[in-house]
Amino acid sequence: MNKLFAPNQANDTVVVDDVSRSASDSFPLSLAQKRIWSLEQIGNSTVFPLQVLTLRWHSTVTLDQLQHALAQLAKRHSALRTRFCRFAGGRIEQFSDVSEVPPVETLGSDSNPLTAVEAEEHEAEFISRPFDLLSGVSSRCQLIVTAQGTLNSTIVLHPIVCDDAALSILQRDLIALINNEALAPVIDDNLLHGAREEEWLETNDFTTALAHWRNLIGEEYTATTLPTRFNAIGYAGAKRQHRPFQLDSTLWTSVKLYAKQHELKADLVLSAAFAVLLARYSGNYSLQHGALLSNRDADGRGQIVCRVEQILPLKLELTSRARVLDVCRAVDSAIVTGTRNLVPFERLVQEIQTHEEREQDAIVKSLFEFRESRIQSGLAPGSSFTLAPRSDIELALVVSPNESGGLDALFDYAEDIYEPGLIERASIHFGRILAQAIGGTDIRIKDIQFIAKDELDILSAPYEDTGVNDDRPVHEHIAAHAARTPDKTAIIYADEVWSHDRLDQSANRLAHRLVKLGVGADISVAIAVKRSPEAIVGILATLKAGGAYIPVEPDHPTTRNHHILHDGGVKVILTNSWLLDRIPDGLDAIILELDKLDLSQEPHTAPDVQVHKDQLAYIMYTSGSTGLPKGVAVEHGPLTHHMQNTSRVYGMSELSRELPFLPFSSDGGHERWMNPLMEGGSIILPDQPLWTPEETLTAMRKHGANNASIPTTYLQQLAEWADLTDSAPPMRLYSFGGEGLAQQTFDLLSKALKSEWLINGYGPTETIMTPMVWKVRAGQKFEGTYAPIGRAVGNRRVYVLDPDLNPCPIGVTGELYIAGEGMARGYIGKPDVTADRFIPDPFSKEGGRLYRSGDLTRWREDGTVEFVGRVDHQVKLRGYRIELGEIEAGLLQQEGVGEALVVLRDDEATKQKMLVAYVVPKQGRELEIADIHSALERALPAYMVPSAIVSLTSMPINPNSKLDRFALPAPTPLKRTIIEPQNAMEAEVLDIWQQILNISPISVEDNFFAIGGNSLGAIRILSALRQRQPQNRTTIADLFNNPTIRSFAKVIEAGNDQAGSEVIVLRASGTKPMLYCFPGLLVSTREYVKLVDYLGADQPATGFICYSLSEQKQIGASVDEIIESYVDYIRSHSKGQPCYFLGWSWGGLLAYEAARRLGDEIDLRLITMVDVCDLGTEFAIGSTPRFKPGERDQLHQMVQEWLSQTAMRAEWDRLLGVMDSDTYDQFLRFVGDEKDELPTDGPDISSREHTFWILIDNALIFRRHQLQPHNVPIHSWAADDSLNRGLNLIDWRRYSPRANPAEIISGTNHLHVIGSQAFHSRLAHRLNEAL
Amino acid sequence: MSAENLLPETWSVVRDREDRYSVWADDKALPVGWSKEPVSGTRDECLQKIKEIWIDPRPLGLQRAMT
Repeated sequence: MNKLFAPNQANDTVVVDDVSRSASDSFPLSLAQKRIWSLEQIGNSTVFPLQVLTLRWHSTVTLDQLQHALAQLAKRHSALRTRFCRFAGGRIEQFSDVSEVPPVETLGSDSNPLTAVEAEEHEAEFISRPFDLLSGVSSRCQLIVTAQGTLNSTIVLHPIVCDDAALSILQRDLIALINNEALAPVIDDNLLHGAREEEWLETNDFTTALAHWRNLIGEEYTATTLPTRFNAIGYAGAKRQHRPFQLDSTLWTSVKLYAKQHELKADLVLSAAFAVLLARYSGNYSLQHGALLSNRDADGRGQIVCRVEQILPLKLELTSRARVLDVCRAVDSAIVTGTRNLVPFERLVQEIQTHEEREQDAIVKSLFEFRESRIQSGLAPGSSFTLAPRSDIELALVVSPNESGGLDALFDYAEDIYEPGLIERASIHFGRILAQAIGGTDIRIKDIQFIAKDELDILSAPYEDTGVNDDRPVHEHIAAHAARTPDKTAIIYADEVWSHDRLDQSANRLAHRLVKLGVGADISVAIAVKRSPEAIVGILATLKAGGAYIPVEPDHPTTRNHHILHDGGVKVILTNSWLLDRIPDGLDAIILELDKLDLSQEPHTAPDVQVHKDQLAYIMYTSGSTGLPKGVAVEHGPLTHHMQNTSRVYGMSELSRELPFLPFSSDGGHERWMNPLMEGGSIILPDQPLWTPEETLTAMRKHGANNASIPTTYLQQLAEWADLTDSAPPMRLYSFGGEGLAQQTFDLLSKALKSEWLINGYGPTETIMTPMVWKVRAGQKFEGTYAPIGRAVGNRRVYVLDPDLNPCPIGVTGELYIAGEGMARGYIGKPDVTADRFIPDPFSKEGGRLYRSGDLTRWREDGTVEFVGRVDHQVKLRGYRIELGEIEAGLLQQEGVGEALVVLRDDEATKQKMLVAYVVPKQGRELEIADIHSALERALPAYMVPSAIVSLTSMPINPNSKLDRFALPAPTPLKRTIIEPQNAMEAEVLDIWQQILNISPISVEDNFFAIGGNSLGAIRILSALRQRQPQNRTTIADLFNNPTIRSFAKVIEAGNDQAGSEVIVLRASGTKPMLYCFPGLLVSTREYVKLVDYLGADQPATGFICYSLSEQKQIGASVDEIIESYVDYIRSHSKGQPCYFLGWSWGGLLAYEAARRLGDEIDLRLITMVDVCDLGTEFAIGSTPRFKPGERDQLHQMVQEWLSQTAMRAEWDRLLGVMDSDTYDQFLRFVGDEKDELPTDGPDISSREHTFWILIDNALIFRRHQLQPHNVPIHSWAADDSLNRGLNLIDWRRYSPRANPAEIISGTNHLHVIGSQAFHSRLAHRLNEAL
Repeated sequence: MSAENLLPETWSVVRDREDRYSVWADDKALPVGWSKEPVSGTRDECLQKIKEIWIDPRPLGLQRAMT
């Protein structure tokens, strides 16, 4: 980037100081001041608010006294009378005149005082008045005599000359002056800071300091902050929110005492508490945040009013076991080291944020600021001051002692990024951290409790359920209905209908046999038949006999089944004769073939078996992420209680008729048949492992189902089918579970399945079936990637805990733990694993266990729990911490994607880790993988974009109806088909492409840009083509519009008629008004592609080729000549039509001029200006360069020598030939100021010399151009980096009454802003507004 | 960072009233209903010990009922 990109504003309405002011009495601005100036330029007065000092004086102080004191104050501090001047081209300097005083406005008098209300109104108005820095001094004062007998004084200073610490100095000095106290003399070198900084930035000290930061922060950093809103990426509006709060004097006194005891500064304890807050909220103990330094420790600075505060990045490597005292010391040492290496933050950001990938990622996202208390002596009450912090960091906490001996604090944060509720809680937790931290020397971060006991009780509480459970086991509940309603239907299975009585008697007979075979307490029976009434009979019989059943799906892999049969220690295996070959040999178990079993002699009444509540009911095998399945053993007591609680939450009754679709190999499948039968209702048991959606819906309708329980993995297709055919029968309840339920799927099923209630169930087998549910009415909406998993059911509690088992605040991600009665005994034969996952419950008053789920969750505002991802689902790749769920969410947002899964796997070829995405299309849709890939590139940071996307017809499912990550295929490398050229022209073009792009082979259908082509490549191709075919008139636009060899060759062959365009069609169709994109210097219009993609299919867009790349280019063209062809094109295509303009960099000027020229011929809705800067001083008309003695001749000599060597001599001669002597002097000055030697690597388009030539040429075009007022709607944006560099951004409000102040796009720069998503989203918003 | 924080954390084997075993960090208050066994070490060491000593997975109440 170069300051020469844009023209000057020499003839604008602003007074230009130049020759009238000599060099000696005005001084350059510091970087911080330049940034504030830039903000002022673009009309932004919120990032750095005006500095206000309002004091109330007792009646003993007279007006005269105050006026006199103010005059002395102004004499003492030049900041009060600093003025600014603009040099030709926009350079700003500051100066002051010792005889000047700030304007003082006096209201009221002793005889005619103002009422309190009047005084307040006048003060407010006075404070809100803007400054015009170029026409007056940078401060103003107001004095008000009030009816209360006090005198109010208000001093307002522009933030460019004053920071908060400076206000303290002013207050102190003013009080001293009023009291006639002597003030120590000061040497006010305020105005020299900028110059000194400029010099320092050239020294080795700066290089060393910068190296310190590069080393400390590195390239891969994570700026710590509080958790952000869902989907906060991509928006970063400028709107701020405030959360003021207070800490009482008792606490602050104790903090000060603690600090004193440990020889610390008290504010260090506050800063440490903020660090603790960040660590606990982010879960990351490698902190990178910031502290605002008042930066006044240097000699004399403590006395001077000026702006010297600095943001200091802090890096702290902590652990949760660190004591708060250690944190204080770590912060202290980071501040000391950081201060020693202090680099202006504006510069630091530029130096660190150099990678495009990192662009959006600020170095500091959270800032702590402590403001010292001010001297108050002699003031009347009410001299309070407000905490008005700078707002250039996403989130800031400002703390300052108040009059009542406590602390005033304020969270100031970006509204679009943080939830107000979360910030409110964080403010409460900040106080709790402090209160606990000072409780002793050894308090560690992990010892601090954020959540109070009563809060935790509410958060962890289960669904309200006032019913009373009885202790009868499940099978007795079911049997009771056989006695009460023997003939009522219990099971519908294909053509079979089983009554409650038949089911019970069959189970009783088999139970008697099992008892005879030795089945009893804690003895297991395998149910190795497929899902059927027979299986249910087997299960009930096992329970009646006192045994524990183990479901074994005959269809599952034999190795898995063999493991289960061995590991589960089964005594009896219930199976069918045709399945015998699936039973391994050598088992010490009795095999009963149910189809051959004669039980007619067994009694049909229940065996007399007493079941103890601790006795096992079943053992369920779960597939872990590694190794063999583990058997989870569940006891009768917790099971029957769970079932009864679930019945009530689900609203089950004897009327319930449920279709349980979940397989018997998952415990949820058993819950869903037991529940209706326990209530005297019935089930429709599917006769196949899988039904098509059509079969499922038909069965529901045919048999009058009112409930259905469906695996989440099957929901999408069911809902799609129902939606497509409108065939869903009305239902009372759908329940589902097994996987995270994506928002999109939920919304679809909520609409398509016509159910009154929906229940999203969640639960590890270890906590019995469905320990948590989220029960909502259909149509309910939620925010988040996955549907909430709700609250605990029954006698359980759920906790979201950090790794130290401390409860996480709402909105903070932690691992889910489930406590209470409703959990398994443990893993069969694995006491160590059981002890590892089932741990003592520190929250229980009676004693109990907590089960560690391995799932990442957070509490939502309403106390329900939200699923975030698996603990082991967060991966680290090339230093980036990546939540795979986020990528999956991104995939699910793409059209046509039904299911998505992302894994980190090894690339077989390179042995490198890579992200691979798997997608399943929605029914009847085909996925365009390349489109999905490019959509992800737009939506996610580059490091999160999967290396490969694999389309599957369905996700592989393991026996527990969960996704089987291990069955996912490795991505196959894409094979490109190479299409050979068909004719001589194609062969010719191909040859040139291969030569210029240096790649082979190239297919004639390959897209130029997809294979690595860019603007420079395009120009080289054109010039190579020109050499071979001198008659050829194709332009760069032709290539952009026809980006394959085949299409481009056709244009060449078609000849001159078709070729020669300067216009690039970025998107031809769409109903919205055409968006005309005006190019910046030396960029082609390709840079707009991302933006056009973002704006969507309905937004047509046209780009113009940059003049410097154009064929019609000539020396000394005027702006009017340059825009001629654009204007003609727009007129012929959009006459009388609505349209938008977009101008980036100097393209903004072209857009503005085109708009002025076209006037009413078009219906221009909005010009959007993107980082349009003013011309630098160097070539401005009227700016006279200064040379040291002899320097001019030396430079002239140097230029002449250079000209004799360069291959671009002819071009340079033409350019230098049109310069007058003043301009040539400016050129020499420019050359002299360049650090690098004059380039001689031209004339290649990518050479430095060519670029240099274009810049000078451009400067010559625009130095003569003058902007004229024009009434047109304009909205502008500025890149943060341009502000940091203090570039002279154009304030369009000076030219059009319908221009807005510019918005800032943070974390990006002049070149990359056009691709920034934050910019895209806001542009889209403004275009829509203007529609 | 003080030296204490750099020491490895120690854990203990703990047992509840039903003779279920688990592990617990020594620097945290022992939850209600649990008592420490005379075994401590790293978390893994404690889990290994449990593998040896937790022979009967049945809760104490059931063990008593079945004898």
